[in-house]
Amino acid sequence: MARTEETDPMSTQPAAWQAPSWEEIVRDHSARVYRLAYRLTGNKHDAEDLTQETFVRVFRSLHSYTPGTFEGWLHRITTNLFLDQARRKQRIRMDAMGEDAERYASGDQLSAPERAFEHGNLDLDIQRALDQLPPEYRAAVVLCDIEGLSYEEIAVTLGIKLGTVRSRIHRARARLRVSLEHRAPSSFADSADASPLTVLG
Amino acid sequence: MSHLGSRISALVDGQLSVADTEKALAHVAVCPECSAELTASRAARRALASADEVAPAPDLTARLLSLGCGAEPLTSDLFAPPVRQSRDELASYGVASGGLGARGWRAGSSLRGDVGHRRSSVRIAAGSMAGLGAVAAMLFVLGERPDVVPTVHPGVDLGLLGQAITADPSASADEISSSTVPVAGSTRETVAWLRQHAWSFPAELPTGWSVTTVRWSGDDSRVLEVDVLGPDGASLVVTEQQGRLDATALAGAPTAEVGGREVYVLSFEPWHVVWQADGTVVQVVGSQQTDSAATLVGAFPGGAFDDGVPARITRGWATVTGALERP
Repeated sequence: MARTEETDPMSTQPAAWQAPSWEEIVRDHSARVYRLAYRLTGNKHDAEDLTQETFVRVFRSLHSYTPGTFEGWLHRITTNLFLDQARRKQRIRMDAMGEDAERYASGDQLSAPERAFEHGNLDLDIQRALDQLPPEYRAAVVLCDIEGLSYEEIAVTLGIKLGTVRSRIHRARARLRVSLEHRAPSSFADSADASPLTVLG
Repeated sequence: MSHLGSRISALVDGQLSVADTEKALAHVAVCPECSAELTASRAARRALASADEVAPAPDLTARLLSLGCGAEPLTSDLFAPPVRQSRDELASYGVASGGLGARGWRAGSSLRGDVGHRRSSVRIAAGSMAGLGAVAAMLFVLGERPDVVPTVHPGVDLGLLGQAITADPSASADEISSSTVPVAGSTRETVAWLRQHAWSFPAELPTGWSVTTVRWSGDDSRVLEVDVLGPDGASLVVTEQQGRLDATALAGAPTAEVGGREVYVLSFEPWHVVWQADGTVVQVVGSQQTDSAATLVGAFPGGAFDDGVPARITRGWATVTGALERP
């Protein structure tokens, strides 16, 4: 008989919790995961890869998932995968030359013409501004403003302290303001007529 | 009071306590600098929140549903070494052996047609001992089986399972490239067909198991996929291909005895085991190991790979006849 029976995952699962079907999981959550992935990576191709990778992880560890917020779990997997990749890329580019550190993020991706029409071009400026943020800042501000998470939830998702969440979001917004004003002054009229910015990051 | 600093963001996001919010607002009222900060922060937040909704492309959703990466990576990367010779390759072998001196050897064309083949090989055999030798040599060459290195990629395994589960043929039709269902019918007929065509398969499936689909996959349809459904409703995907399991590449993989058979366990979750059954490499992928799955694995026939001359010639002949039935 099988020698590997001790790995049977069913024994660790509480009997009361009924696992959703795979189709339900995909239907209910793929749009949210993709949206987060797109805002983090800044382009369709990487976003699809990240989404797929996230769901592979979900499928693989579904048996060990203990009931809680599924959304929180997905946010955690997606952002952690993204940050891992971003750090790896960063290391590679630093090793390679280190000359152009500003562009280690998904930087220049949107200047490719085919990117411009991926999801309409209304919010290209926003995405470009996001792309210029360091990955850690980008993750915090996207979780906050696009996913609508509280600071506590973001702290848990990213595994950082509450104060760090606050300062990352603060700095991210300061940088976003600068690049948005630079790129599309009209869409940013509110702040422009208030007063020139004096304190940044 | 000092300037608000990062508390501005917390204020904008409503993340300050009631008392702190009041204090912060009181400060903003008297501090033009912080007031400007607050306005700018709100604008930045609004800009992000106003970002357009992006929706995943339908094909991404489809890939997720079938756990994607299944069909295509499977055909291109997973079983990289070519396994069973296609007709074109057979033809090229025929031309090569023609150069060895077998005059009038028209294997290139005769192997393409069902009719000519048997006649021409008979003629050569009758013609001369050299011709006979050429045939034997050719069969010997054709009887060679490449090493098979199974690749462990959870995505691929999950893709296989995903396809097996989505029984809806319209959904999976596009996914499986070059798929031709070689046989359709009752489980008994399918099993008979598999055994008749030298694929490794139990003569009698254990109770409760049934075959749901048989299809070709891989480049030139060299990999046979059999979906079987267990008594507990869990499905397994059995893939088979001609070849010799490359044991050196599996050096690190744990072995286990499943249903009385020694197998390499490539992955536990999803469950992926592989073993050699005569000239065939059999892989079984399931979501997890169960007793009934172990029973099924134990029901397979098969032994070690035999690389002796008679065995190779037998396999070579099987290749020739098998190629004629290829889609």
